[in-house]
Amino acid sequence: MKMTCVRFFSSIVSGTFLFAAILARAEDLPQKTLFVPKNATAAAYVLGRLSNKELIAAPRGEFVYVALLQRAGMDSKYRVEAIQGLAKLRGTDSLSELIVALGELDKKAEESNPSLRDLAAILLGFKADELTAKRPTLEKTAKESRLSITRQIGFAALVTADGGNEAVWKSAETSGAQLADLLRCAVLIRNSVLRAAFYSKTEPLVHHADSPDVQRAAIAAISIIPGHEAETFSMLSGLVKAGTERPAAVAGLQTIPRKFWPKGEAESLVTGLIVYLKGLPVDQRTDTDFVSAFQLAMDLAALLPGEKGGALAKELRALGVSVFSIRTIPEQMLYDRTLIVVEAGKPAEIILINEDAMPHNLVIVTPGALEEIGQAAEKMPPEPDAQGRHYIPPSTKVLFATKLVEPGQQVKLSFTAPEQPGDYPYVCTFPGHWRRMVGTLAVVKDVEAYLATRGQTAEPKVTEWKVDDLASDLTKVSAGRDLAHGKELFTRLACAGCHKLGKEGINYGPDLSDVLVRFKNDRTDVLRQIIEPSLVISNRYRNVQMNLKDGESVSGMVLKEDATNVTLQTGPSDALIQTVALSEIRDRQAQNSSPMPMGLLNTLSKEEILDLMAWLEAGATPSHEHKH
Amino acid sequence: MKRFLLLPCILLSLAFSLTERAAAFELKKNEHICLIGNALADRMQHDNWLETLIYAKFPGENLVFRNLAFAGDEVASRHRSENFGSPDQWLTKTKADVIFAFFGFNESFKGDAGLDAFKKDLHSFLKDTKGKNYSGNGSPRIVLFSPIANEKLRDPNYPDPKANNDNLAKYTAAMAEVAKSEDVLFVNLFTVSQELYAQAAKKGGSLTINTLHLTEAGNKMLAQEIFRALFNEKPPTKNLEKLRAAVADKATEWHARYRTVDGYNVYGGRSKLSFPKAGKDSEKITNFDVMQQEMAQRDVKTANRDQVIWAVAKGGEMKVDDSNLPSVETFASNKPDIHPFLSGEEAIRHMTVAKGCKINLFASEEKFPELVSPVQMTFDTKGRLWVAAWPSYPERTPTSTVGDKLLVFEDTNGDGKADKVTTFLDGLNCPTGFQFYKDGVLVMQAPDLWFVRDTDGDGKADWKERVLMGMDSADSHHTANAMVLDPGGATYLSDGVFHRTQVETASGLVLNNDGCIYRFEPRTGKFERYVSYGFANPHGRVFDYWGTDIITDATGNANYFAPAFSGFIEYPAKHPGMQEFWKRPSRPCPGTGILSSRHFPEEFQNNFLNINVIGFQGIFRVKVGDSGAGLKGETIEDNLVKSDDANFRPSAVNIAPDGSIYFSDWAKPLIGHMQHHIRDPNRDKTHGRIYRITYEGRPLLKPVPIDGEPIKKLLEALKTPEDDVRTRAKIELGKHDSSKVIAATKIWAASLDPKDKAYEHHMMEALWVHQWHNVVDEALLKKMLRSPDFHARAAATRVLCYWRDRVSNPLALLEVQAKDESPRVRLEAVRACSFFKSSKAAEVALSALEKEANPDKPDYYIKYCLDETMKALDKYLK
Repeated sequence: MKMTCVRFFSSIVSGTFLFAAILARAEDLPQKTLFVPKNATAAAYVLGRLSNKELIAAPRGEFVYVALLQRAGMDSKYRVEAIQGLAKLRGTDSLSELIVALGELDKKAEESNPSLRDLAAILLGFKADELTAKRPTLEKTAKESRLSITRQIGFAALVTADGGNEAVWKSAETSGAQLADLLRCAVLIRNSVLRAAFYSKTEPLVHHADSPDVQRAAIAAISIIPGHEAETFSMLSGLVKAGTERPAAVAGLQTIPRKFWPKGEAESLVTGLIVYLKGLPVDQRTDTDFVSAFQLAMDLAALLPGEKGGALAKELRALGVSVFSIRTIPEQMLYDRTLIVVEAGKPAEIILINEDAMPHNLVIVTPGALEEIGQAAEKMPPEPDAQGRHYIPPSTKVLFATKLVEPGQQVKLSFTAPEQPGDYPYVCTFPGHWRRMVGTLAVVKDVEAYLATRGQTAEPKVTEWKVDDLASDLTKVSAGRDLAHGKELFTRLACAGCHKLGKEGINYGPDLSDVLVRFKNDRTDVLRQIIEPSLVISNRYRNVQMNLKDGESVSGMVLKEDATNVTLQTGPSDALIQTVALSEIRDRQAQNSSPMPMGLLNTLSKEEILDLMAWLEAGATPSHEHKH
Repeated sequence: MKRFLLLPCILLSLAFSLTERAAAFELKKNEHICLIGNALADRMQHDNWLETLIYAKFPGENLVFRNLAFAGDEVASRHRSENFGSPDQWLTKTKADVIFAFFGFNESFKGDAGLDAFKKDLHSFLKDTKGKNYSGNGSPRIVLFSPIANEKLRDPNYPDPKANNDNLAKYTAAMAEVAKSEDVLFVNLFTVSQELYAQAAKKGGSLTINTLHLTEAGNKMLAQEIFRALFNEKPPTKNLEKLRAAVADKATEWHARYRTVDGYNVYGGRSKLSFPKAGKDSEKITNFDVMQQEMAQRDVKTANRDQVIWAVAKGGEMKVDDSNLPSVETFASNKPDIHPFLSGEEAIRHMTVAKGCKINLFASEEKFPELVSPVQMTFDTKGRLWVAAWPSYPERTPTSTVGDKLLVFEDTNGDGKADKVTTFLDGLNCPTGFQFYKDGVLVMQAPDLWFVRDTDGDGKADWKERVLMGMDSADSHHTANAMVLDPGGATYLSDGVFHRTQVETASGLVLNNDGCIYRFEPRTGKFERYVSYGFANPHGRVFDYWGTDIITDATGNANYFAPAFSGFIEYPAKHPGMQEFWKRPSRPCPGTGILSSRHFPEEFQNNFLNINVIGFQGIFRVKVGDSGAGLKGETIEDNLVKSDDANFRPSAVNIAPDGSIYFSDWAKPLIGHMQHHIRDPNRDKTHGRIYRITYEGRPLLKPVPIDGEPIKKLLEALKTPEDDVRTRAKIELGKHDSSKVIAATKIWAASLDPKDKAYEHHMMEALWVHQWHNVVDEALLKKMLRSPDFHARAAATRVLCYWRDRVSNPLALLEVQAKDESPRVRLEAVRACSFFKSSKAAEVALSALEKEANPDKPDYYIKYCLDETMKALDKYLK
């Protein structure tokens, strides 16, 4: 792996440490100097701003070792290098440094968890006698640490040191909390003999324990203890059916390798799970508990013979929720989707993601009530209703409503679609917004059939159009086309998101106003360019990938280049224009594929493609529009 | 006199020789001449000397001039809002036969390092342009003009232009070289301007306002030299004022068209918004449709004025005739259901005020028809209330007869009601903000900031200078606004999204995209980005008793503790999202204030006042306290005022000299820029009110005399607890000679009683007076940096930041502040470090962490500011 350094690393200056000494290194990295303040706090802050890649490339020293050891997502070879390096610098030994790091990470909050798990693997790789030498310290780790994971690591190390759990169990069993930590440490123990030894003490606790926490810990532990899988499955299956610690039992069952799942028990467990899932209210059907149990039930159903399994799977699917996400469009006062189709009487969920600079909500109202509710909301003071929602008129015509969602936030709206089919408007009721910010929730008996009649299918019919499939029909573009539909397609396919056509659209790709003229009135060439956008790319519209010296890369069209900078546009918005200094660029590669996506026409019918072509030709001269 | 006569001859030979050409430049009948380039050319359309001289020479040729220049333009960079149109499109539209190109000034700040790129850019520009045919009559003829030199001014507040003149000389030479190689006519204005400056200096005068931009007289002299250089003859000396007035009328109309405000709604993204023409489900009409029809009217109006120029040039007369304007479509409102207006008095019955408070109508359109759509208010040193009135919101139409105004209200009999109004300035278009400076007022009239004065004392403006140019106005309702003064005399302009601003300064071009707060020192001309952030519409802007500032973004009514995100950040970067200091109950907010008045009881003191216009229509009171390095706000349940009248739209709030609260009511049924068509017929253009709130049973404050008071009295006024009184006292002090003010301030500071509870604040005022007058006092600064009051230490750290180039070893001073006991002081130090360009500054900033109780989780604002400072310093780290 080749590493490059960012400009961050430059020459030495007095007052900062220079780490020139390169100790034993996992890889051969270029030697660079790095700005590291003398003060540990400041150094930790500065190193905290480096990416993992930059940190790996950093010259080694005490602060860099500490960062390598404690940073999440580091390969364990760098952690091992770090404890060795620290031991040498501080005149101690590797294991001591590792235990110090565990203590420091423990003082930080939950975000230390991933690093602690990494360190656990290294710790448990030490020899039993080495660990035994540190037993008093490890016992403190097991019993006095702040975080549960640190305590578990401590217990796992003690069990490994002792070569068994007898002594540790004895010292822990008087405390429910310690016993739970000890049970949970089983998953950390890699020696299968040591792990298996947990079974006999754990099994009774699965059925009965003094505290629910110990019982849950026992369930977690037993599901990873090898050698008893079938028994464990039955045991946990019983808990699920009985409703005892169900989420823990479901999680436990999923932990047991599939090959041990007894087919004979699947059907009754699925049936039990269906009863449970049905009982969960709609707004909980995207929560983890539902999703886990649903997944388990689906996996179990797959074990059953074709028909039986199919029927159960279908029943399960009916319990699932259709999830739609709707985003607000910044500075436009619009939703990004204006049509959502749901089946009458079925649960659904809308996730409203507010990307605008002002708050918005989403309110579903009865058919025809848009104006009434919009007007009523406009007259309301900004006082929340009992459910904490603003601008929700107390009217039976309001069916479902979210809270006001602040910029950058999102909210879930779970509901069961009305039984009565119809077009139910959804709207932002923030005063004034209802005049623009509206969409339709189409409630229908048959979603597929509805979408088919609208020419918009959820899973559209896809044709891999080739130029030859259409070339002979291109003469039909000249007359009798539905230009309004062509115009709609121009927007719907997002052509207008990148191209200008007459007054519409955005200048990112080439302006299409005179596209036919530019292609010398050859429609086939125009079509070919749409179907195979990468066949001919003008240099102005070619993406160039700039590989930067810091390892990052930027790809975009070159708008401007001078002696010092190059200006790139990375997407269809002025906001995506950026300038890169030539000095930062390592090399560049012109891309052979056009930024224009392929297959844009694949969801269209032939007639629709011809309409779109007609609109392209007429678009620059809207007078054509009136001819038809 | 003899010497004076000699001068033009010297200049003639100089300018002539620098054009390197013998024959005079020719202009043919009906030709179109377009000016492009930077502020040198941009300012010509306001003084109009060059055009006038050329018309005088070619009276029968029916020439057409169109000025396409933009302050801040460079040959390879023209910063414009979305869909403005490319330079080529505009040259085509204006059918350029001849192009006068003025470049090289903004480019010159890149110095030697930028010279090659500049030559390359200029070369390709000339080559490309020669290849064009804008007019249909063939390739355009280009005249390339060098930049003028920067002038050395006697006023010590302006920098020595030497360094930049060295650069300008090199860029001028480069232009000559490229022009020669491309066989383009070149005029060296750099050398000519230095001669002109030297002559002016001998007479004790100067020709620029700020070292770089010409005064009207300077522009006249330069125009004469350009004339000589082009035509090889003496410029006409007869009185051309009538012709110049005709040219000016055309130039004004063209400026309104080419530089139209609200461009984002005229041609940009929101011009595409469409609205039903006649009720629900009817055909739709876009902003673009209508606004382009208006632009067509402006084109015709401009052409009509060309006719007048031609007639006057030929010695005739002609009255402009605009009867030929194309029509503009009309359509119905999308909000027909508007609530009828209540009278100004009746509206009070719909208001609820805070317990103990009383409200009265100060002024309304009923008595003062000029009072329409008030957008900003401020009391002057005489205690009169100045109001920017914006009847034409969102902007004037080409056929409008009512201009926006700057009004001055007086309550001559002290009954709390206005009885007199004077229109200080009329005929404006979108006066989004104003603030007092010396004996005049700074007025925002996009794209420029004017300094306007009344020199004959009749209460009306009669003198005007453009002191900043290039403030974009792509969306008029958040064009630079909410102008406030900080305690040290700098003023701030808040600018919103969609804008592409480029402002020329003596230290280089200031560029910005979208939202930004700018800091401007009118005394020194320094102009910089203060907070570059993803604001949508920043409107609210206040500084508290100790100079800590709060910035409000109207759209979401997001309120920010500003010190944390006002450190240096390089263009075009923006600071990342920052937490709000108060959980506001409602939005949006058009303006803010601080209730600093002992007329009100203790629980009102220093409440942050936050205005809201939708849902909650009124003014929130917010209790603000220190929280870590920053502030924390808490809503006070008892609002200052609220109303259930749908048309009540409070827009600005101020504290009067008698301690009462004044607030304006924009008074509109429709307010949204986006929810309704720009020209929705229900946009009201006739209502506006100002109300006054007093506290029953408590005496009003005795107004502190300020206007015309001697320096000593004004310094004493700085002891007043009310923020507004102290600000106005400093404005008044600003009129006086700085050396006298500073001498008196030192005596005043020495006389203060250290046992006085407010001693540290008084001393801080002494320091701020120094800052206001741009006079550094290092000893006083050092004393305040170690004041026993952390507020003073923080405020002094801010002063140190802006004096960093003039005090010895500023980083050593900041190192002490960075390790201060107070997180606020540490934060100010971290912020100040961002403006340095050294690794040492990073070490100083980082040392602020040493005082953190948990360095892994530092104070939110310190962490935010430190992250930003480290980003700014990244490239200097070693």
